Amino acid sequence: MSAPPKGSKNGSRRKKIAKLLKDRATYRGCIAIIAVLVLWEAGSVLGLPILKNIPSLSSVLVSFKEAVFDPAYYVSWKDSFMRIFLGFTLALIIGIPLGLFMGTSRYIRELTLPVFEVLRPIPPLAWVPASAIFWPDVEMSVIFVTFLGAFFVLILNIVGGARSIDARYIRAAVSLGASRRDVFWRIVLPATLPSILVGMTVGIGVCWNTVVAAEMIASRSGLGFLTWRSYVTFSYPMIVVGMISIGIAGYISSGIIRILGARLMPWLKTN
Amino acid sequence: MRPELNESVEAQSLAEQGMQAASNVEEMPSLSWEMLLSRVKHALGTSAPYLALIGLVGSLLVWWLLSEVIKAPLWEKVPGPVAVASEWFSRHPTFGMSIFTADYYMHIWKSCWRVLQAFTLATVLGVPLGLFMGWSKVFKDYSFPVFETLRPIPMLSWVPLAILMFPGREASVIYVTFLGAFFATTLNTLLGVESIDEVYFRAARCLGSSQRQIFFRIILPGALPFIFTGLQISIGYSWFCLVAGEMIAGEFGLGYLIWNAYMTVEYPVLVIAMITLGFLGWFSSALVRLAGRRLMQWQVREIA
Amino acid sequence: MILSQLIKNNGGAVAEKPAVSEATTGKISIRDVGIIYDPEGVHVVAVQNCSLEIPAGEFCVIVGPSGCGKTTLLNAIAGFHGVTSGEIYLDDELLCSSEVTTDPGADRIVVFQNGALFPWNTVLENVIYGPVVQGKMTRPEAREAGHEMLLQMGLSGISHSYPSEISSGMRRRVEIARAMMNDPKVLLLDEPFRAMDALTKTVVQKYLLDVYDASNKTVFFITHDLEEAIFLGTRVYVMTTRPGQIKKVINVDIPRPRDFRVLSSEIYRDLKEEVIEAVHEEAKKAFEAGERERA
Repeated sequence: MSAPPKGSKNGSRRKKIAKLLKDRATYRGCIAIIAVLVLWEAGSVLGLPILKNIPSLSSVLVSFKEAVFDPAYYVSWKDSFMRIFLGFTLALIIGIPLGLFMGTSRYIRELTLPVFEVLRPIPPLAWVPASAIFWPDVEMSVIFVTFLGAFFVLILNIVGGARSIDARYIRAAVSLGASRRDVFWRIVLPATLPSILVGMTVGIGVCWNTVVAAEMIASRSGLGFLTWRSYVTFSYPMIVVGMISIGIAGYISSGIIRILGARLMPWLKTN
Repeated sequence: MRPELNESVEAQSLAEQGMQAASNVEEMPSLSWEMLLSRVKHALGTSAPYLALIGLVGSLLVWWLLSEVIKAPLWEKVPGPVAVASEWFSRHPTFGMSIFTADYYMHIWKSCWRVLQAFTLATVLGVPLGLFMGWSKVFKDYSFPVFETLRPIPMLSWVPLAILMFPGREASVIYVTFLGAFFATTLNTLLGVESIDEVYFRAARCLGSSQRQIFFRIILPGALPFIFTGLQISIGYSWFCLVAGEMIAGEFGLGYLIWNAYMTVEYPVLVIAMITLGFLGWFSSALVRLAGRRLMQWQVREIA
Repeated sequence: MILSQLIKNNGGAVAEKPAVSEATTGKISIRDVGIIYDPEGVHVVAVQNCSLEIPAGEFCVIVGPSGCGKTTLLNAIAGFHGVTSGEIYLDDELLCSSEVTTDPGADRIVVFQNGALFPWNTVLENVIYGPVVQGKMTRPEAREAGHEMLLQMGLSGISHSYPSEISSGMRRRVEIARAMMNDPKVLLLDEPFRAMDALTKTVVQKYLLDVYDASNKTVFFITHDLEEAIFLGTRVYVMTTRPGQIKKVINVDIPRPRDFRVLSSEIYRDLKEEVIEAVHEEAKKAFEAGERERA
């Protein structure tokens, strides 16, 4: 009912593209990116310091073409995504209820939050060996570390969000006769949703970083391992292919979260 | 739910009623001993410090029970708190890593020195870059898209390339650590400039400021709160990346120590290094926060 | 519903007073109330020896300098916090005393200073919130009743908008509609029109008057806009600076329904002078005490 008809949405998208084409910033951005690409290629051709050590653009493109037709390349994608998916989903399933619980119950928060505060400054990657000692196999320990990375970020964001809910909303709801249950489901949850999404956005970034490093250190598969193996086997252009792939994968995951956020929080669309 | 409701309601009333107190306090230095004392007294009257203590001691106890007393499944190889403490505080540690050995401090020093170099470099480059991007639209039009293209690539995937790019492992570890800090600093600085209310620019121009003066007297202080948020994040990322860099490519340093302890099955050392890292991470971000407060007195006063 | 006359009345032309039976519920008695805060060891006496009797159906306006304890008093009536001494009664039932506190409820609905429409709900969902959470109506019933209410209040065009999409004046009207949906005994308004531009304000004020004339609810209205106080109120209570007490009661004998012609009448000007005199002294005291304006 409240959603605008589909046609106008398409129309606005077309308008957006038209506006983008007219905007000078678009061209400047393109020029800058092309300039960087040229510099990259020139770096290895002309032997500029530092840049000459980076595999050239053309060699990377060649490697990319090879990778695209290699089924093993896609297995790397699948493996990394699987780890992210498991670790991140686990963090959501445990982190969101726990965070909300900690945010709304003062005594639980005062009891548990200090423990989180103490553990949080330890970088997730420092957990890799400890996790490898704990879990019987490598796969589990990589997923566990991925989980940890997102978990702390989520918990702290949700607790912060739940605590900073404007008292007016809770007062208004109680004044309108809301029970504690109603206050939780109809006020606390929607009011905390933006913080949950922020936690997810930051968390997925940490997840990718962690997965990549964990794969480099401990695993035998995945995009991180692909990148590291390329280094070890001297197929340097493949390193850059791996990096770009990881970048794209990270971009896709955070895009999904962004879309999810827009879907879940239609009231934020105007501002 | 119920106690929480009361708490938040109280908080608002407190803010309302506290206004008068705040206005009286205004002339006083922002943190006097008396205030500190009354705050500590107040805190001791609430449940928070006691519950925190119970929570922390409780988790230590659980750790101890699971790893050293019961030796629960999965926990067999995990070093317990007693094993860690007896290594850490021993004059003659089994694995040669305690507060009395020079090696321990050498690793700490190496890591701190790397973070310091990378963080300083990121701040010195990132803050001006962010400010310029906010100041000049043309500059932003050119630089921002490049930035946004590079940003989704996780910092840690740079490690192998960094090793290629720089001669020696030291430079590549620092480079990766720097990257982590750099993006957060630059973006937050840019965000800070863009958050400045247009009114201040107009007011400054009405009062006869030159472009230069606007840069130093409006843009810089106006963006400061965001810059410090960025620095808070960036110091965290620095440690995050440092550990990865040291684990993969480093010689010496706490990340290396963790990895080495794992490889040589010196498990208590691993935990010592983790805790030390956690403490250093917390301490450095506390330093950044303190510096921020010092530089932004006007905000402190507002909150007090 | 009680508001059925509202639309006719909302045209602007003043008809004769609509035939509404005298209000029988909504009498508030505040007897010798004191409220003390003790945040972080700072002892604050917000309200002291405060007494007032508000008859059922009266439009009662409280004015006073910033931070004089007006909001504190309103919060005590609403049930957001207790009192340190004295009692508050609603229709001769004890609401709160030093021992008793009654939870907030839909018989005393608050319209907040900066508005508290839930940003994640549409206008319609906001309006039907009360009956739904109280379990008085099923969702479809509530939606129907909500549509009806919005129609009566002249808001039906925006029922599917989110609060962030409508103007501040509209938001206040929706909030009044949300309160009226519960048929409360008392409406508690905490500077609802503050931070609104003068023109919008007059429109919403007139709107509130129409709602009041049509429903005869008891209204407890806080403001520090003196003109607003006289224009809206049946009686204006002037409070002292903290600790808040009732300093003066001014009867506003301007017949209802009122409209803007009131603002240029002789009686209005005399009343305004009287109120200003009473408030000015207190405002000066507050100002000299270094009180800051609350945003």
